[in-house]
Parts: sequence; structure tokens; C-alpha cells
Amino acid sequence: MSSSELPEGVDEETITRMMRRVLEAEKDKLHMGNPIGINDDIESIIEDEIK
Amino acid sequence: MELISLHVQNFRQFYGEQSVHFSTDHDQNVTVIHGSNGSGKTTLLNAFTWLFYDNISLPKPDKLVSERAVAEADSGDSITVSVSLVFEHEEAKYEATRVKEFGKREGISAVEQSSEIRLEFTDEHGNLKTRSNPGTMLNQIMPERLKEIFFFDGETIDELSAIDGQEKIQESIRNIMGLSILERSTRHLEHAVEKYEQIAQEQGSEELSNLISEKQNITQKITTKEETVKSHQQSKSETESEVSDIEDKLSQLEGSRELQVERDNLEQELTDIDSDLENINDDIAREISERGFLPFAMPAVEQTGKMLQTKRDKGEIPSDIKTHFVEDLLELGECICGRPLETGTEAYNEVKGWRERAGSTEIEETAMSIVGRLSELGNDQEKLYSEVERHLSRRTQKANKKQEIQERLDEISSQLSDEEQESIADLESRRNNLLGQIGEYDEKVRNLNADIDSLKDTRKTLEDEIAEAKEENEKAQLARRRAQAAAYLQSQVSTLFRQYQDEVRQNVNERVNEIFQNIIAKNYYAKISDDYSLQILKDVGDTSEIPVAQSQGERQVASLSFIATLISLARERYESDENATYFKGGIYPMIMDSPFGSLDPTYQERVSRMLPEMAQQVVVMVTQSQWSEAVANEMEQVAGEHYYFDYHDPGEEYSTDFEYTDIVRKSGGDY
Repeated sequence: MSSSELPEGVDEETITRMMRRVLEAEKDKLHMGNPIGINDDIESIIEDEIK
Repeated sequence: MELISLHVQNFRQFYGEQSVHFSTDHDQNVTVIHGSNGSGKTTLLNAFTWLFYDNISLPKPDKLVSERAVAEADSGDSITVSVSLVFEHEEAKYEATRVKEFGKREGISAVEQSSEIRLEFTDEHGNLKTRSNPGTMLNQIMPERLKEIFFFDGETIDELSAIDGQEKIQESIRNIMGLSILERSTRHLEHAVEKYEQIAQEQGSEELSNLISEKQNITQKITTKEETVKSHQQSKSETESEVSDIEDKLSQLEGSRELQVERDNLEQELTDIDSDLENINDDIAREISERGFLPFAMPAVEQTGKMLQTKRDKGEIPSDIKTHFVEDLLELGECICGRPLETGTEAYNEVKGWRERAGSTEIEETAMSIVGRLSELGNDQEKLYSEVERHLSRRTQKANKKQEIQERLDEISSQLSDEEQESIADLESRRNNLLGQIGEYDEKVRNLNADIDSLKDTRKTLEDEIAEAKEENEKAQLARRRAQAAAYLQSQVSTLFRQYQDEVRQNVNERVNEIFQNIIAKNYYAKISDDYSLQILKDVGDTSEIPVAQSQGERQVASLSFIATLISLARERYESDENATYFKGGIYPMIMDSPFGSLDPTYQERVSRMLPEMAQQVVVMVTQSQWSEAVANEMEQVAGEHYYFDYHDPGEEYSTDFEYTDIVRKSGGDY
């Protein structure tokens, strides 16, 4: 798997939206030294966007 | 963020309620607080960190309450300690308050009783509201990790330029400029990639293709066997046709006609008997299905019947007295003998006692119905026996008749085989051979059909397993797509992070050196190296530069330059039109305790000249010795507010037994 290739059926628009959502989730927990639950938040975003 | 005012109450040596109103005038953006050593400058800096993070970096951090407040309270009284900050942030006005209540004990001790933090704000309609997550919100506005940047102590700020300051510098750049979001996203997306790759590995397997291959193999076997069945059935049909032809010939030949006609009739009769036997077997099966339980149930049925009959014989059912009848008498208040039935009287209780012995109408009716039904069950059992016996008798008769016909047919065949006329014997011999072949075909078809049924069962099991494996395979494919999407996203974020980080480091390098050189007297350069250490260098040729041995004052200037750089760049980024929610900078004040701590007079003057430009809002706490004439000349023009600490020392003032500090606002003059 190459990280420079878009997966089949996923467009750049989806990736842009995912990036915005992931960064917003990170921003919400930026004040925490150990951002508990951030991995779950990111996985939820990925699973919501890639079905 | 813009500071408006700070209010402290009984916090350490600040007795009672004390306030500082910060300058919000952009032309005079500096607030100067004068105080001698030990008067409370560092304590005021800690009032900020206590409010924001519940953290104090002072000796005896648990001694929060003003000693004077404790001394003046009576035992059992409550003493309030609070710090409150009014500020504006992203176009909303906030008031953050941390309060602790203490209970006075004997002597001068106080015990914490309650603690609370509040964050109120005024929304765009002017309504006062309360944040439900005050701690989190305050930490987002002024992250605790960066508290040494926002609330810095001039005496120790030179640590930033020491070797162990690299990590702090790197983190400060990332945080203040908003790059930590990108850096963290890169790490967390890597975690997501690993997780989905793991799922794909666990779910995906060669099982599905093996199962499909096996199913195809089974289907092929079924098809082959079904074709063989068809072939045998075709052969059987042809053989039966040939037998029919032979029998037609035998019907036409003089010597065999009579026997053949008889055989035709007997075979027809045999077919009818087989049909009858099948019907009789169906009748027996139906009879047993409907009433076969009776022989097993009858012992219990008979016992129940006997038990109920015994009760009838004894007169227990039906009962002579009915419950309803007794209840009617009690309700009417009169017995059938005419005596009144008043509650509590002997007569009343006597009649009431009948109710206990009276029978329930519903139960008696049910019992009588059961007795009747039990009797019917006995009849049904008899009927079952007689019907089954009748069917068995008919079946025996038919079986005997069948055997008789078969024996006669065998005899006919023997007679035809022994016929002197050679053609008849040959025909009969041929017929018998063909009948043998038909039997073989039937057996082969039976065996093949059993094999086909078994193979179809196996195929059904395989189809179920394939459906399950397909589901797992779909999960694996989905996990692979998610892993690939996460990896792609991580690559994009990582590229963005590196791009912004290089851009920020370049900007920081240019700005930090610009500020540093404006302050420092020598031909030195300040630089953030590739490994994020803050270095002071000097030129030794056209292109080369070497680190210099730094004095504490030079390190302090370098650190101050770095912090001023971050705050000014974050502000420029915040005010720029570029749309980048995760790299948007911010507006931060500079709150400094003794920023001229280790500087000689020349540097003090230059730093004080630069201070107003370093941030939108600057708060400076200085001692009398740091407030030199040169500094005063520079700061007077830009200081919008002046305060001084009026420190009361019990060693020098006989009027007080405890030290305390008043914060006094001044508009100018000597401090």
C-alpha cells in the first residue's frame, strides 16, 4: 500500500473533509497533555467517511 | 486575549480584596507594577497560574490564605480565597474565577472546605452565560504547557537558551503557532493506519477462494451424477420398451398367448395391490399420529378418573353449599332460618364458616368436565386399537395376495421358459434378462440419488461458510481502504506540517535575530538551530559563524527575544487573512516578573524600549532597582497604568502582627 495513492472510490474532496474533521478533533483536545479518546475520535471520522 | 482586570482576595499576602486594571490602550499598552523584593510580585504572577491551572510555584504552596485574614477570623468562621480575571477573547468578554473556602481552626490554621472554578462570559446578545467546562476552556485559551511563556519569571527565563530548552522551544513554536495540531494528527493517524492494517490482516484469508473452489468441485460432481442418472433412466426406459415388445409378441404367439394374457392381468393386479398397501400404511401412520399417545397417557388418565370418582362417591363434588349462596346470606344479613346475621355475632360467624367449606362453582364444573373427558379418552384408546388391528388385517390379506400373485407369475415364467416352441422360450429368457437389467438400473439410480442428496447437503454447508467468509472478506477490504485513506491523509498532514514548520522556523529565525540585535550591544546573532536550540553566534568570516560564551544577561535577552518573536508572529498569523483553522496563531499578552533581572543598564534601556512592541499588551513587574532612570524614561511614554505594592512588614510596623500587601493604583510620580 502506498501512502501517496488515494484508495479506490475515495476522492480528494473526501480527504479534504476528513483532514478538516481530524484537525478539529485534535484542536478540541489540544489542551490535554495526553488527549484521551483522540484515537477513537479519529477512527470514528475515518469510519464515517469511508464506508 | 486581552487582559482587563485581575482581582485577588485573601490570596497569600494580598489581604482582603485587591485589584489591578490593566492598560487596554494600544498606544500605552504597558501596565507597570512596582514592588520591592518579597512584596508579592512573584505571588501575583502565581495568582494567574493558580487561577488558570490550580498551580503555584512558591514555597509552601498549600498556604494559600492570607495570614492576616486567618488571624482576624474567629474559630469556625469561613474565609474566602479567590482570584478572578476579566478578559476579552475572540470577541467575547469573560470572567474566570477560582474560589476556595477555608474554615478557621484554633490558632492561625485554616482548613480547605470547598473549591470551585467558574467561567462566565457575555454572548453576542449581551447575555451572561456560564461555561460548563471552565478548566478545559481556560486551558485552551492559555495552554498550561506554555505557562512559562505567558507568565515568565525574568530571573529564570534564561533557561530557554540552555541546552535543555530545546524541547520547550520546539513545543512552544508548535503550540503557539498552532502546529501541534498537525504534529499530533500525524502521530494519531499513524495509529489508525496500524489498526486498520491489523484488521485487514486478521479478516482477510485464502479461505474464501478455497471454499469457492470446493463448492465448484462438488457442483461438478452433482452434475456428473445427475447426468448418469438420466442416462440410466433412459436405458431403463429403452429396456422396458423392449420388454413390452417381447410381451406383445408373446401375446400374439399361439403357444404363449393365454399365459401372457394371464400375466398381464396379474401384473396389473399386483400394481393395484401395491397401491392398496401404500394407502393402508398411510392409514396406520395417521391413526398412530392422531391417537398414538393414548396407550402412554392412559395410566395417568385412569388414576385421575379414579380420584375424581372417589370424591364424587364421597359427595365432595359437587358440594352441597355454594360460595355465592353463603355470600348472599351474609350480605342480606339474614339466615335461611330467619335469624339476623349481624357482623361479629355468633350466628354471623357460624354462617361465615360455611363459606370456607363451600365449593367453588367454577372448580366443580371443571372437575365434572374432566371426568367426562377422561371417559372419552378411554373410548378413544379402544377405537385406536380396533382401527390399527383392522388396517393390519387388511395389510396381511393384501400381502398374502401379493405373494400368491408373485408365485403365479414365477410359475408362468417357468412355463414359458420350458415351452417346446423354441421362439417362446427364447423370448421369455430374453425378457427375464431385460428385467434383471431394469432392476440393476433402479439400484444404480437409487445409489446415485443418495450420493447426490449427500453432495447437495455438503454444498449447502459450503454455501453457508462462503457467505460467512465473504462477509469477513468485505470487512478486510473495507479495513484496507480505511488504512489506505488514513495513510494518504497522514501523508498530506505530514507534508503540511513540515511545510508550515519550515516556514515558521524561518520566520522565527528572522524575527528573533532582529529583536535580539536591537537589544544586544555586540555583533552577535540569535538563531534557532535545526535541532531547535536557541543559539547566540558571532561571525568569524564571510560565511562561518561560531557559538559564543553567553553571559546570563545575554541568554536572558535571547530568551526574551524568542518569546517576543513567538507572541508577535502568532498575532500576525491571527490577524492575517489566510484561512487555516489549524494554523491560525493567536493574540497573547506578555506578563513578566523582573524582565530586567540580570541585565546591565544598557540592555535594560533597550529592552524597555522594545517591550511595548513585543505584544499587544504587556504587564511588567519591577523592583525599585530595576526601575532605573533610563528604564523609566522609556516606559513612561508607553505605560498606561501604574501600580505599586504597599508591603506591610511586621518587623518594621508595630501596628501589625502579620505581613500583608496592598495593591495601590497610581497615575504617575515616584514609586
